[in-house]
Amino acid sequence: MNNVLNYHKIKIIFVLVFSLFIVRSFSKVIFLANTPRINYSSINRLKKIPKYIADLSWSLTNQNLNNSPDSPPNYRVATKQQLEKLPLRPVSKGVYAGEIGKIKYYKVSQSEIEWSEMELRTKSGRLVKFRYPKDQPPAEEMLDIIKSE
Amino acid sequence: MYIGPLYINTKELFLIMAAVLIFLAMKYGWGISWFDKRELLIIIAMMFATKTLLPALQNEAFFMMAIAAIFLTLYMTVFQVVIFYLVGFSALRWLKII
Repeated sequence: MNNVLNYHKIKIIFVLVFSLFIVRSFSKVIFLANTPRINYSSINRLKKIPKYIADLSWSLTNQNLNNSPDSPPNYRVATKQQLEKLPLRPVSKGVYAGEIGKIKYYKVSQSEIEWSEMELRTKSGRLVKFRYPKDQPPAEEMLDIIKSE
Repeated sequence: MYIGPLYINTKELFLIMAAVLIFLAMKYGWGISWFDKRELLIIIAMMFATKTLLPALQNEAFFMMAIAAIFLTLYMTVFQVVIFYLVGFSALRWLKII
């Protein structure tokens, strides 16, 4: 057993599994639809992680900012209760928006949106099915990226 | 034997032979079950470039990674396999395995 699976081989297998994990987890986040194009929206989302951590209900920053219940809603964070009470106006079917001070809040109700389905055959022969809001068809550029996959 | 910066040994000759066979398969339409010939040719080109430019590579680790990359073409897109190869190769070099 020692000869078959020695420390060296274990290291090789570990590297292969690690590489596979990295590829499966991050290639879709960093790159757009398996092309060398960078997915900037995901990168921007990653940049927002510090803000997300600061906005967590148990974070110290959030607690300090929301100490007083009567504080004017001008802060960069809003509590869940404040958002629940917020009157929302419809923007389009199933999408509602509201504001507290400088904070813009959007609510998307998936069940109210009318969806359309589309099927695309990629270059590699795979059939891709996806849905989109009926009145907002996906951009041609995005469809080309999916087709070229 | 060195040809410019490339070191060609028996293993590299096998890679060249495999590339020629796959090229012929592409040209004459010979079927290779499950595998995509274009993807295989890309992987072989990468293997050839790394193996000939870095002749001191440890054969066992390189062989295992090459086999893994070839079989992953069955399950992942060629772009993901290329990323896998680059990440794996860098990690193997970084950990001084290869």
